[in-house]
Amino acid sequence: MSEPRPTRVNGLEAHDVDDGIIVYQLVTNRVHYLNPSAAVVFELCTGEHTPSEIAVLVGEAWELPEPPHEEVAHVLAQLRDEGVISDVPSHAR
Amino acid sequence: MTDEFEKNVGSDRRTFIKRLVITSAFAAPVVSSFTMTGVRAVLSQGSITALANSNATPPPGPPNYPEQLICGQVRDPKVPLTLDVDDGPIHIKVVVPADALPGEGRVGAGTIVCIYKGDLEALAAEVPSGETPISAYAVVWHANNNSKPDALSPITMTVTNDVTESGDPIYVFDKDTGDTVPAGTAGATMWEVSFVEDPAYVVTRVGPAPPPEPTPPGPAPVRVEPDFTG
Repeated sequence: MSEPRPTRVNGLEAHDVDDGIIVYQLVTNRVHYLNPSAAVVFELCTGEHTPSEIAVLVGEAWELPEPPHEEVAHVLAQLRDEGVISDVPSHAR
Repeated sequence: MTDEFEKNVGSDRRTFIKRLVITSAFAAPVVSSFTMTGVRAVLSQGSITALANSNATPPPGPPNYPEQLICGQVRDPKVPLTLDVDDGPIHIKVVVPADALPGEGRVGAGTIVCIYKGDLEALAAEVPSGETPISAYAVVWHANNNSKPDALSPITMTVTNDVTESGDPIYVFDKDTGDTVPAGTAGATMWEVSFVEDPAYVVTRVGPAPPPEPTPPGPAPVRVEPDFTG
């Protein structure tokens, strides 16, 4: 089975700050601070990329020797748990 | 940064994302999440970034004080911090004097101070027999290293509540034993306490509790007079 592709949910208010992004989620009355790498992950949650592809792109952004698959999977799970992103099935693209 | 990465970021976002990447060394992605209520005061000071960077989160409430009403942050310790919040018809005001608690330092955000509301039903089992809880609030704080420093000068909490009558006993929970310890008596329609350790208070009525006051509709208005100086 192919990997789902995370995408940001509707109803978020994202604000750029010097060292990341602050996301207001009015529906849940929650606010999330994303550090720079989490902000990049968040930006890449467009429904176009799988988690593995996001990890590769994050690795390329910082020119890391290996893609940070585990770290990206962890933060995606966190954003998913908070209802900030949802998964688009691959066939729905 | 590679061209491949840039291609995958929306053109309108490229400048910002590029700056984020260039100006920071790679660190594992971190998301710090808060309730709006919990950070309302912090947000008003524009300091959520510092709060999140320090891994500081609002301190949890003590047992039987589940509802966080408001939090604030001591940034400049030379400036008093005042937390004002309405809980229905009840008004709670906490004043942290200047130099009472640590402010923002090189290692992170300053002390976070929160007011929690007690669960009167749950507290009924904790107060002396024959008395009924009628008002209960706790003030909790922690510094940026999660320590709980004693205040260097007394912090005051004033609760204006039409339900309290002159002479209603006030108790504070002993941190070691969890027992209630007498802490004075309420005045008519208000009670006030001062403390240097973060305490949980409950006011009781000897005998059955009075009927609850009606709660006005809509969200509780919050007023904050933070110590923000920047």
